[in-house]
Amino acid sequence: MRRAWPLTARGTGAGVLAIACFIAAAQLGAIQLLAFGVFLTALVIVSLIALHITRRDVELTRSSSPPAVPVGDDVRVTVHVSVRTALPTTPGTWEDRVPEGLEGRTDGRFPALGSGLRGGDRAVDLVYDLHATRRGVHWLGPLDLTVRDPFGIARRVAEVGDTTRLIVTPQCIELPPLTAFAGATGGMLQATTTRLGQGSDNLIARPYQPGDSMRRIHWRATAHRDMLMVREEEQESTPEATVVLDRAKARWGADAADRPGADPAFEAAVDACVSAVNALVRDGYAVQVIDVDGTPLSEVVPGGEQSAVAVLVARFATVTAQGSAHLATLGHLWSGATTGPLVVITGALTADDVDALAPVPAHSVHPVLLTTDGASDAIERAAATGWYAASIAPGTSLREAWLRVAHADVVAAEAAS
Amino acid sequence: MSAPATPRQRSGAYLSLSIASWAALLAALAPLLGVIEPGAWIVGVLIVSGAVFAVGFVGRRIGLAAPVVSLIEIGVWVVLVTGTFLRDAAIVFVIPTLHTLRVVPDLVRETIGQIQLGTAPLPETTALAFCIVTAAGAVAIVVDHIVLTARLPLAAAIALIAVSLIPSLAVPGPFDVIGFVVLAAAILFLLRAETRTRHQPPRAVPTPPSSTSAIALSIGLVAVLVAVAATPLLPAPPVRAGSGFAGGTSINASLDLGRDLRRPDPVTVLTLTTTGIGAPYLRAATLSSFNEDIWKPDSEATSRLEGDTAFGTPRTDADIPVKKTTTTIHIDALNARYLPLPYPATTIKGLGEGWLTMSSNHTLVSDGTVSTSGADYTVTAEVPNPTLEQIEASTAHSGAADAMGLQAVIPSNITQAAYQVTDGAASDYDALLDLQNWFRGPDFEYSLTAPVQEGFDGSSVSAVSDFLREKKGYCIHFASAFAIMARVLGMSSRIVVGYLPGTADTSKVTEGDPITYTVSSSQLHAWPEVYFSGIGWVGFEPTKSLGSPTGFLPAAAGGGDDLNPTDAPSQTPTASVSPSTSADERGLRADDANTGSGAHAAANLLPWALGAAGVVLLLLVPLLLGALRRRRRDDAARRGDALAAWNSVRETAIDLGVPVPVSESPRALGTRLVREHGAPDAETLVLVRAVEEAAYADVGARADGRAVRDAAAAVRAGLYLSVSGGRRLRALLFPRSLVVKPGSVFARDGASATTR
Repeated sequence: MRRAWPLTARGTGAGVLAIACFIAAAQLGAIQLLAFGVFLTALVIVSLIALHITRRDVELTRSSSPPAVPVGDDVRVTVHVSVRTALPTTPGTWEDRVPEGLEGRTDGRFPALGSGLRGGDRAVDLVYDLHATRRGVHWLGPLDLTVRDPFGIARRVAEVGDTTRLIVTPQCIELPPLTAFAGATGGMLQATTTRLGQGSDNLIARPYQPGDSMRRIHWRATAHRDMLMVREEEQESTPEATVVLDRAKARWGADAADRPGADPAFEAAVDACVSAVNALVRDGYAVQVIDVDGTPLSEVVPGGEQSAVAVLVARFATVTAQGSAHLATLGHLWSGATTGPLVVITGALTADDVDALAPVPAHSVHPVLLTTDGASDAIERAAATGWYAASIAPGTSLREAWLRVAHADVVAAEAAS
Repeated sequence: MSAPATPRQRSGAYLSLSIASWAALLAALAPLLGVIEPGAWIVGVLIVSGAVFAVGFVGRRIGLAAPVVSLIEIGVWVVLVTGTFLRDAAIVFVIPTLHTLRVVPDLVRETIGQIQLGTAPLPETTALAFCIVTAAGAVAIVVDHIVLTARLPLAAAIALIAVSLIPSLAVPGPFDVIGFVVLAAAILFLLRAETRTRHQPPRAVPTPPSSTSAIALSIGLVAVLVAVAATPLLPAPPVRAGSGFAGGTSINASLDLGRDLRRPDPVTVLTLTTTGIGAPYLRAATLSSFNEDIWKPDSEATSRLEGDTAFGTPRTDADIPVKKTTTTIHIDALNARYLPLPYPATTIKGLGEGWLTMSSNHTLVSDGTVSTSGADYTVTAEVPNPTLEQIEASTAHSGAADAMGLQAVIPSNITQAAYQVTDGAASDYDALLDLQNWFRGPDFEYSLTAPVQEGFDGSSVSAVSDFLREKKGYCIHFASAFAIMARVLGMSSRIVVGYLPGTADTSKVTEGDPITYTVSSSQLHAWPEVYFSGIGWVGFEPTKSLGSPTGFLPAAAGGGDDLNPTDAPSQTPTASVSPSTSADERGLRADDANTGSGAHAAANLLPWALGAAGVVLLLLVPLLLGALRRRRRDDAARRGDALAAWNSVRETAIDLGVPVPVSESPRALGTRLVREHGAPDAETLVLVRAVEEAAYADVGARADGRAVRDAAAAVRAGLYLSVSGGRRLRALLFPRSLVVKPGSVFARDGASATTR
């Protein structure tokens, strides 16, 4: 029934019945029936008046726990409604409007509230659980508050309050470290890597000062100078890692560009992207997330900064496919330079694409290619050109794919020996 | 959040819903009490319907499926009905057999016959009780299903209203306020109970749900009151021909014609043409026996109407002239047990099967299979037409005990009047003529509206006694009084119910055709007949302003000729009931208007002045209440209650629209009052200190009450003075704080709350 109609189905029935009573009373000449017609009419009108006689101020705040929810998780939304009326209200129902992509029952009974002339706030907390099924920024609300009269004849529908934002982020999965680099790639949390051409000779030692950690005593210099020397502050050489999220429309489904959460392949890619960033940051890398053409998709996430990862994850709630950059542009980014671990996440791959990516592995210590393309020939072809490649097609386990690319060195070494 | 209510709450709500359904059903059946004599059937209805609802509730409680519950209910219904009424034809008293089923149609047929032929209130019989109890059980099952399974209480209300209408359609009556209120309340209760099962409050209920019940009560009360008050003001629905349960108007032979006569919209009951001069009186039923204080319709041995000869020629002496007339009657809208006939009918043509003759009183009664509606028949009547001499020579005795008996204590004013009026009459006929003239004389007044008091609208001895005292009434009173007085004088009399002579339908008169007379439902009439030996029953017309008085002419003046005064073409006096009654009513109303307007002119200003004074007093009530409360607080403050003084200041602040949030401490509020609202500094400090001491200090440290009270008064004065005169006046006249308590939400935001 339309929202504007002020009567419930029962109230409408009562009105129709009243008219029928009048007609039948005239036909049958029964005054008793006339009385019932008047009674039903009066009942409908009085119910309407009783519902609408008082103005009511409704204030509403909505909060969700957690504030941002990963896809696939549940979130509990609490709506605090305070009603201020001079007369007591009658019970009713409420329904919070929830967009597509969030599932759950968002309606319930609204209790009767007392008069605001005495006593404090007449407030009630409405709680409901939502299951997030689609990434993106969703708006909850407004709340439809329907109050019915005690006989269920009339109703008063009010749209209450504003909308509240609920961010549904990509799913961030805990991934193991890239184990092939166990001893070498701990970032600043572990020993500095030598692979990047910084020999220990470059260290500058200084005399020991009280308070310096024993662990930082540079024994060779101590022996050389016959006084306790400590290593000067290590050169800030946080190893960098790069995660490339290929957003070019050509390699994703048609829906991926329209709105977040529509294309399962792209969702898998975004999930893999934030999970990889998370894993690398945890390992101490400063992670740069870029598009194929080099456009940064976020600020550089400093190593170990989990809170920065959370910001990035929230930002990736709205990432969609866009642009038409060619994979070949990726090769130009590191021409003549090398970078740390490189994770390229892309969609459907053709043989040409794999060929275009062929120069890239040479510039990275650990080039990882994750594709949502399930076809194995592209992966084999990429592996042949030096990638640690794995498929993250929707439905496959990202963790297993990650383990495969992480252990690839070990596996290869074992195979070689 | 769909709060799962506890099972206890749930079943409580369902219990009240079942009880509400039962109550509504009983309320819908209550009007039956008016048409059927109370008896064991009431207990049967209570038990069967109660058992159905109880079984339904228990069945749902233990979680049976809805169809199963309905089946069990049907089982209980069948067992109970069988065990009560059809025990002999059932196995183990309660299990119906095929034989039982064969008995049921007989019972139903018997009941239908009883309803069609009987007059309200019907006496209780087994068949009738069976039908009512069975129907009540069936309705209970249907209502239980509609309300508790289909959740459509309004649909159940439709069914219940329909059920409650049946008696009032069968026996039309005035607006039954009590019955209506009871059923309306029951329907409201049903709606409320059903709504309560739907809207279980969530776990945390901030207010008791009693507020909702209070709202429900108010809404229901207003709706019922509006209906009760407004329905009589609306134009009453016209009683249509062919409407009602029986279809058309009917003749209630139990002498309750007042209701029929008072119908707002008379309809044409029948049309007739006659070979006589003028339309005849049409007789339907006679009432001879006067037992237990009321007239009873005759129910003698009847024989089936066969062929055309209905009653044979009346036994009259050979020398009495007889006038033969033939009347053709077409019934338009009459559905009665009795067929209207001119007196004394000898042959009847054109009637079908199904009529029984009552030869002693020349009436024709249906055997229950036919009714008068649509009947078309031709009657030949042989009217005895004695001369004055002949009738004066006759004595008014039939010899039948029934027509003479007065089995009641006759009040003395009836007997006295009878002897007084007939004093000096030479013969029975003369005495009756004296009575007739007395009734038709200036002492009496015809009025349909006069006898509205309960009990007066009847034919009993006390009603007649009242009638003779009031000297106002209608045909029943006149006829009943005449018949009783005739019996007092030792004559044989009876009352006849029928129709006055119709009015000629002048609109359709064409040359050569007989005149068509129409008889309207408002011409329903009752008149007395007295038996004269050798002549037969002779009708008299004591009712003032109606019909034509009986009078026989001496032989010299043409008595015994064709001109029978009884059937004389007396269009002018006979015109119809409606003109005279409506004239009466108009006359009454005119009187009312005259006296009323005179009174209005004299006391024109006083009501206005009183009303204005009342309004002013009413407007001053809040001021008085506010002043009283302030005084009470001051008294308390003087006795040392600092909080009372503080509350009086807070209330003043609320009156003036100053926000008084519950979260603000006395000191903070005091500071704000001083800074923003013109409260005096020193006194406010005194007051705040007193409040803080009262709140926090050790017991015993009591402030000086008088000082605190004075400080509070000074602070209040300061607050009042800080606002404009208009606001001050409003705050004094209509203190908001009478409704807005300190600390409530409305007090938090000050006056802006009411204007936002």
